[in-house]
Amino acid sequence: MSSAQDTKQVLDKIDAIRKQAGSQFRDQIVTSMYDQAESITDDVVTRSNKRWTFDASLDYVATHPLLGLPFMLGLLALTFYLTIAGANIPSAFLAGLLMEQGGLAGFFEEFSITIPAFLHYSVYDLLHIATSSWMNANLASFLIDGIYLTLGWVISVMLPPMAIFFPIFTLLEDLGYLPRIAFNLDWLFQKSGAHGKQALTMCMGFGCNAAGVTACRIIDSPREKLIAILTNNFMICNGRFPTIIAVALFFSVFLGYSDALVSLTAASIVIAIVLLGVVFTFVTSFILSKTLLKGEASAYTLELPPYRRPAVLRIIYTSLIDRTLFILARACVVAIPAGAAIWIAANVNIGNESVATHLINFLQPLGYLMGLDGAILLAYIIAIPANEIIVPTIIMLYIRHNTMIEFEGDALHKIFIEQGHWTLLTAISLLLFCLLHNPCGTTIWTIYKETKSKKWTIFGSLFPVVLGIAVCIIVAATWRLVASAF
Amino acid sequence: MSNTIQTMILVAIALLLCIAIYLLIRREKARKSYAQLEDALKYLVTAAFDQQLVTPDTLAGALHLSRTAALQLIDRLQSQSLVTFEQNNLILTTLGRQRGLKLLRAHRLIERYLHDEANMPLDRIHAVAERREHNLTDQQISDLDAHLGYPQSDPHGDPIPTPQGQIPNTPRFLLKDWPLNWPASIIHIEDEPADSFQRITKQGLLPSSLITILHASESTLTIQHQDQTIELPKTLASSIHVHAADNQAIQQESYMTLAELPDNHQARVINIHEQCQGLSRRRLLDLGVTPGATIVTELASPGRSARAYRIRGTLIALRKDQASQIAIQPIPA
Repeated sequence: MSSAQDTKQVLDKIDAIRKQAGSQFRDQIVTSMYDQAESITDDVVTRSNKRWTFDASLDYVATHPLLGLPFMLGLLALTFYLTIAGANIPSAFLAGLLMEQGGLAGFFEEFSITIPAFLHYSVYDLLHIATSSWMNANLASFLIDGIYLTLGWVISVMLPPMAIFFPIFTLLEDLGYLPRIAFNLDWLFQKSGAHGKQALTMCMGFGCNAAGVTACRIIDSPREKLIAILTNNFMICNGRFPTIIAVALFFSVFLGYSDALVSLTAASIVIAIVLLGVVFTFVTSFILSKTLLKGEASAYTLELPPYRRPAVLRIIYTSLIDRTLFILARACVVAIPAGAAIWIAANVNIGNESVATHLINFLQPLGYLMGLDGAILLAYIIAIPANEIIVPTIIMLYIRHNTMIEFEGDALHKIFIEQGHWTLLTAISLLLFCLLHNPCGTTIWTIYKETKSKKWTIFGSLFPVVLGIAVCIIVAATWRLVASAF
Repeated sequence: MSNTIQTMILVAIALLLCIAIYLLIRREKARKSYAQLEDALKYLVTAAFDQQLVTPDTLAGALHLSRTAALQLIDRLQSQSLVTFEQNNLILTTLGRQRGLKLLRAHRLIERYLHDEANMPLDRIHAVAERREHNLTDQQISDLDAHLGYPQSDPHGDPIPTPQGQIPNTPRFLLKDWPLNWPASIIHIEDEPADSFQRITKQGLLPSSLITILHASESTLTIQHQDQTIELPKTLASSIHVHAADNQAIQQESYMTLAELPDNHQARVINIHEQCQGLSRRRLLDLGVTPGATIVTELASPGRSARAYRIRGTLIALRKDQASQIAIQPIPA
């Protein structure tokens, strides 16, 4: 008998058995495997019969029908408060060290400490002094005022909040709290026709939208996966947190609160924006599942793993090396060409005005309608590759006239008010537009890689920014109408 | 001079555009007519299975074509020797039957995939499968079959043809012909027209649902399904096929589902409902929801849309519609 005949006989037999076995076959295999595993574990594992373990008590609060949501919001508020309150001083220190004229003198003056005069130089001052004797003045300005200064702003604005936020967030992740958030918010996802695991991808989006989009692979229904991908941008990623935090701080200083209240107000503003993003996620998910991506929420299973003792060293490693430094490095890589572009745009003239001025003037009408200005819009366009550099770019555009301003304690606020003529409306519109605008370049690329569809990539990139422009215009018009009425 | 060049370039671009559009339209037309041909074969195969005769007029009606278009289509089918005429009835040739069966197999496997693996709602899978069925190779079809675990029927209960081109034929009866007070299992719900299919499934009637006809009037049937009585118009009842419910199905009906188990109660898993197939069934099995396992309700989410159950030492959250797919027997505390 030939082997081909053998094979055919075997295959025929398999076919016959398959028909006899019926649909219960798989169930029986799994059941027998579990039974055997269970009998082994029963022999070797002893379990405590305590009704109220630590896990059970924590879960009682964390997933309580009434207490669960306030508990979650409280945790979120605490995270942001610690981030904002803690980031203030290191930020001022870094700004003093890297960029301010007179170095750290201004920083220490706040604490009534006088430092010796030979230390009254920042890295920025030193670079100018070091290059003044031999380098062409224009080249030095290009390298120092253009590239170095943008880098300096990126580091001093971004590093401290990230170095605090990421470890706290990684701690929550490590504890096993994130699945509980998904469990608590399940009713909202079900109502909006989305997958329950979208909560997890949204949490990832807090870290980085590109990571959040990739995380959508855990959703197995293609329709719900697409919804999760398209709405992930409404979660404020870490690249945008510094912008939100800087503007929120500006906001509370502008309102004239005392120091103690500033961090608290700023934290509340950040939470409000984050929650607004969550609201937008649910509303757009709902609209998408009623229109373009019709369908009902599908079934899913969510494991609520036992709480784990956090591994502190690993948290610090992953949050500082994998996340903070990774994102900072990416921001710096983008900041170098952006800084160069800004310097060139500000120093190359067409007619009597610089290229930057032309662009800003061109964008000014739309900017005004949205409650912003041309410089902010230009900053958003320059920052498409990485959202991290929005605030530094705005600052660079404001101080583009090459006459450096004296930086003191409230340098940021001075720039915003004196150079940018900011009002409360500017701050509100900027917060809204920071929440609702196109995803960054990396995220757009990731959306394309995950969906393999140009159509959805274009849709996912354009619909948030169109929504943002519309929302800003409506808010600005209402604000001005109300303001003129009083 | 440069103006003439510019005009020439513009004209050339316009010409190229026209050619591109023409080619696109031609391709689309070819694709459509190919799909139409295949749809006709598929319809003829199902009609033969149901032992119905097909005239050019019934074919036109089924494919939503005008009489002339239908006749042109039949001409094309004849010229490729896929069908022959016998009196006024269309009969498939062996070749036509083969192609029709292949398409039917692809269609029903795709439906199975969309329902089991892609979690698409039952009333949308037919339309999507209609579009996707035309460009699968033999290899792709058998790969899909293997991936799905060689299913016997599609989610509506229609049998899936075997690779050898056989359609498993199980005895089935129209619901409107079924005797009163005699428990029946739904084995098939006709997926066309989509609108009546939707009206039936909205009532909670699905393939493998257990029902009893309580009362039949001129126009409606009164049906008992689980705890509810449903008034079903006879026109809808003619798209439902049933067979006699076996003891196991009747027994199954008497079990409580996990969704009905009160908070902080224990139960023993009986089984997972037959309707829950594919990915969701595998997922539940993987998590240890197997017959005989002990399950405890522990947490309820805000809004009670989901509950967390402890099974084999792990805590797993399930939504209500999933928990209602699991038959259980409560263990008294």
